[in-house]
Amino acid sequence: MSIQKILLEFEPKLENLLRVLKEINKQEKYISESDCLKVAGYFSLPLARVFSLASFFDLMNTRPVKKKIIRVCSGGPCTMKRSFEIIRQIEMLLKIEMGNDSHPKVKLETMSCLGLCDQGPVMMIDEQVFEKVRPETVDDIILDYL
Amino acid sequence: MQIKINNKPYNCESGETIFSICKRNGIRLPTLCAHPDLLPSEGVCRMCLVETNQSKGLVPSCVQKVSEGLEVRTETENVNKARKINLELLWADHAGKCAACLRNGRCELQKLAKEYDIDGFKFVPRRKELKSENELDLLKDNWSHVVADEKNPCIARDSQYCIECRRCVRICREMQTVEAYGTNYRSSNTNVGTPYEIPLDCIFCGQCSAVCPTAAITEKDEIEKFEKALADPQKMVIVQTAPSVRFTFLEEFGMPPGTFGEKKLVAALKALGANKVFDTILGADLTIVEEAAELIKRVKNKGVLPMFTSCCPSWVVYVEKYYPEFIPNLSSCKSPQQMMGALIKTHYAKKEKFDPKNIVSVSIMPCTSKKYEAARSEMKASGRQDVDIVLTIRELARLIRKKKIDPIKLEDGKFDPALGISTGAGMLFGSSGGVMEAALRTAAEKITGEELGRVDFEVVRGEEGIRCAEIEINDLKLRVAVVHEIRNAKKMLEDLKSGKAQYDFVEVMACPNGCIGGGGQPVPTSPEIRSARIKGVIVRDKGMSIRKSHENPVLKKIYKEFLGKPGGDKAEELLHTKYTNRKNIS
Amino acid sequence: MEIVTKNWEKINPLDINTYIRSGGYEALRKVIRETPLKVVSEIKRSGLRGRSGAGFPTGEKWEISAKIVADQKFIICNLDESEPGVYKDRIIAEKNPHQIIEGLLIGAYAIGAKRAFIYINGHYKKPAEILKIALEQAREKEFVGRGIMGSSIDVEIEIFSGAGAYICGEENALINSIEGKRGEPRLKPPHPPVSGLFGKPTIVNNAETLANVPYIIKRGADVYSKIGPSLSPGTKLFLLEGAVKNKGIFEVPLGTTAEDLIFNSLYGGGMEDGKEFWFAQIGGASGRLMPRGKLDQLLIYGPSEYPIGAGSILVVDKMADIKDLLFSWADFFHRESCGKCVPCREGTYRLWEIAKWLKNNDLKERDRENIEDILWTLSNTTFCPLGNFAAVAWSDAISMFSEEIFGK
Repeated sequence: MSIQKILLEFEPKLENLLRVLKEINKQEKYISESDCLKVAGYFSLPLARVFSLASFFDLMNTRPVKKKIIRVCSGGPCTMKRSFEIIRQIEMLLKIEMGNDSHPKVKLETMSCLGLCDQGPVMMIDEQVFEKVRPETVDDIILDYL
Repeated sequence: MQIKINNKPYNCESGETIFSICKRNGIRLPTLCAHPDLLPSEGVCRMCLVETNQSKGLVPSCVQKVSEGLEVRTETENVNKARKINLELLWADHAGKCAACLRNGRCELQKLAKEYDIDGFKFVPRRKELKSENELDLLKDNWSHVVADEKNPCIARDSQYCIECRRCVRICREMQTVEAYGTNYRSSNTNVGTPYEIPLDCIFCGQCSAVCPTAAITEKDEIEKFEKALADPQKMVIVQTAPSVRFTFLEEFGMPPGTFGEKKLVAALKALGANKVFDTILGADLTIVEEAAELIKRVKNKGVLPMFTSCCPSWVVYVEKYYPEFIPNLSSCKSPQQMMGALIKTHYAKKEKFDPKNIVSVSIMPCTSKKYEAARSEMKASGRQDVDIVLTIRELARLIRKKKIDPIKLEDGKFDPALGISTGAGMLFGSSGGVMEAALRTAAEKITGEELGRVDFEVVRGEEGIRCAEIEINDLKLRVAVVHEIRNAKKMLEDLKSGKAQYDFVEVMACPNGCIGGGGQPVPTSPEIRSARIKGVIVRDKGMSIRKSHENPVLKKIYKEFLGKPGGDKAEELLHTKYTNRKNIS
Repeated sequence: MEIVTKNWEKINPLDINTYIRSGGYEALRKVIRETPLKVVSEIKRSGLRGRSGAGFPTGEKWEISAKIVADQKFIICNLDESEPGVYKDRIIAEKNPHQIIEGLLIGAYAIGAKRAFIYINGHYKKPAEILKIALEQAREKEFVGRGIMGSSIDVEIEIFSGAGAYICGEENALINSIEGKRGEPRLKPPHPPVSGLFGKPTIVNNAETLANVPYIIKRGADVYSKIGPSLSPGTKLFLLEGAVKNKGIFEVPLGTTAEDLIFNSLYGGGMEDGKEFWFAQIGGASGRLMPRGKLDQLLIYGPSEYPIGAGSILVVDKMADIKDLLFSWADFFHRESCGKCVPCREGTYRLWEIAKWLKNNDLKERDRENIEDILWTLSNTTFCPLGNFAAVAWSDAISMFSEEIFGK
């Protein structure tokens, strides 16, 4: 679906702005400058306004994502379920450091609670969610998905 | 209502904030985000926190409204602790390179840091210049993202100095409706900047640089170019100074706003080594004579009306970018700066037998946008760029300080007479309504053919955003409007479009109160400071022996010797210009 | 005592008829025969308080909007959660979506809103899907839309899915994000019930709060107000996580003690085998740390030494690494700070930085003094409560476990 088509699904009312941006992000994986310009034009808003909104939220990217991103929940319940051991395990396996962006293909980050505490510890690789991850099994998951 | 501040009673009205009452009564409250041109405040910086008897904790005085029985304490232990810690936090998020900074000594953060004894970093500094874009991805978590934008022709940005106070975002959005800036990202990555880090795409008014508390946003510095020209013995450096800067120049050297500083300004320029110093007011008078002729022609021939003034380059770009359908309404007259520029490299050069290629034409302006105007491709009446270097009054003052010149101690200087006779009308250009008033003085005499007894058109003076009046000259009724700040201009344009308003002649200035509040004027700025500057202008106009543009003897001579008649072929060639639809380019 | 979790086993969330058969939408049928102000006063009398943290009396909030004459009013169900350890609203939406919808419809009727939103956490894809189906079915049955149950009352409900930002659980930030603005808190006043979404009177209620409403209407305020303590009546969903044996969601009357919740075999059932109780964090990442000696505190809304927040209880045992938890808290608030005010933007960053050094045993002497300054400024000078929240657990940990954190 083209950006134009997405736009036409929504009236240019402010309450649809975030919805449109999410829709574009879903399809394109990020919101490019040219798409952002189209959105700004459609809603008659300055580009700066649309960008400042898009860049605020976790679930949207304003730059192309070039790496696999592994995210591990650092919330209290997941921490109690050994999520930091999982992080250490991944660091050892991939020889990377949490938060550091120097690996060419993978980035490891912590993430905020997904509200799946009863299924924790929770991990994401790109958009795929993994529940009840254990330090002992995390290697297999990572190697499977990379 | 009465409230108590530090145990002393003060009168106030309901709806006022604690901050504004303190300010009025000279009670010191620090702030890095509140600004008199940006009300109501948003309470971002937390510097103005105070304690009151009506809340448990600290309250931001810039947003807290007064209420009956309020008692405020502005200097308690907790208040000072809060200021100190938050300053320490900001300080470590700031470049901290004061000695090399353009705003050294004029920086609000630096001033507070001194006041609160902040030296060295209590927290690890976070700002660092990036050498190339590739480094972006390699940023270690301790360094936050720094952007330096040199691509805008008028405004320079260096985010290592930015403290995210958001004044620029607000002034650009609320006063100018352009909204070139945004607050981007979240948490400690929050930065103030442009979308996708594109070069600042704006109308160059520079209000952002006038409200920025640090050096994160400044005029694009061209001192070096000027110094180089001065040092080159081959070059003839000819400087012109804008009407308004003579009323603001001395603010840079500690004098109150509105002080008339023309003679010191000229003296300082001569001391720097300028070969000739001319007065842009001659250009202003030319503009008036040409514009009055154009207006009369449009009215008589049923041309496109209303006619808009075109002296303000930010206004011109605004029309070109956002309302190109109104391009035919813009007067084809060049601005005073460009008329002067054209004359200097043609008429004057010829008369004095200078090779124009050896002339470096420099203008001292209240305005950042003039840098852009001078570089426009249309501005080559002499076959080359008519004005080579545009310096804001801030840049000039910086250079003067750098050269250790104290203008106040200099002997008074005088404009070089060739292009240096001033009129009161041209002087008025400095403030909003001035072009209109000057034009009316000339137009009225041209239409009636009689000499005008009355020269003051008070109806077009004032400080409201849009001022309208109906002027009767014989049987001709002119509906005129004077507009300043783009938000008001936008409203005026929309009213014209919808038919809600009808005018014949409209003066628009992008900056608050016109050039006197220009984006290149000394900082700080506020409505009070601008009022004082305007007072200076009006007093000076009254004291001038020649108050009408067309009576300027130099101007009369130039028409006689060189230009022919207003609106004639030669004038058309040198003093008028064309505009471009820029709507899709942005 | 079951109010919110009642009938969960009987109800198929994808089939509205199972909800109707267990008495669903009877409360709605009842209220549309009453005047809106009568509904407001019933909720007011019930003593129901908001279930997302602050515990503001729901009826009083409704009354403000109900009494304002406006061309438009809104009611928004806040289903954003995002507080670590809190997922009760997600479970309600998954188990019994119509209970939320019915509560929302009653609220809309009471305040006179024709448009309602369910603002759901952007990560909650499955619950959003369930709610969408539930709304479609409710629309078919004429509970939602134009002319509810044959009356002249119109209420449209739409789902608004967030985009990942904890701060958007704060009502003003939530409203901003619907309006297409950054999820930053606004200056108050005006408060949303007076001027909220698009400047119109707007009620934002937590999903669990709304899920209580049908019960109150059906059984009456008198019955409800007698459950639990009179100032904080009703039941509450608590979430037990950490080193407790039975983890998950438990509905108990407010006024239950933490001790009871954690150790009673009906609920937590005590500690996991071989683990010894150290402390419990009450109310999510922004919650205080409750030591053994305080376990007899009543869990209530209103003035309390240990505010219950949204109801999560994280049980921590003596083997747990406090430095991991300190990092967990700092990491969360640093990421979620909206970046508007100086102390929160910079303070949460510095705390996170220090937490990292602490975890790597790389703390310098001056950092200890800096911790105190940061916690103080977060607690005292920030624009909105997020900054205060960021300092709560840290402040407790520093004062209670200084030796474990910094060594002797």
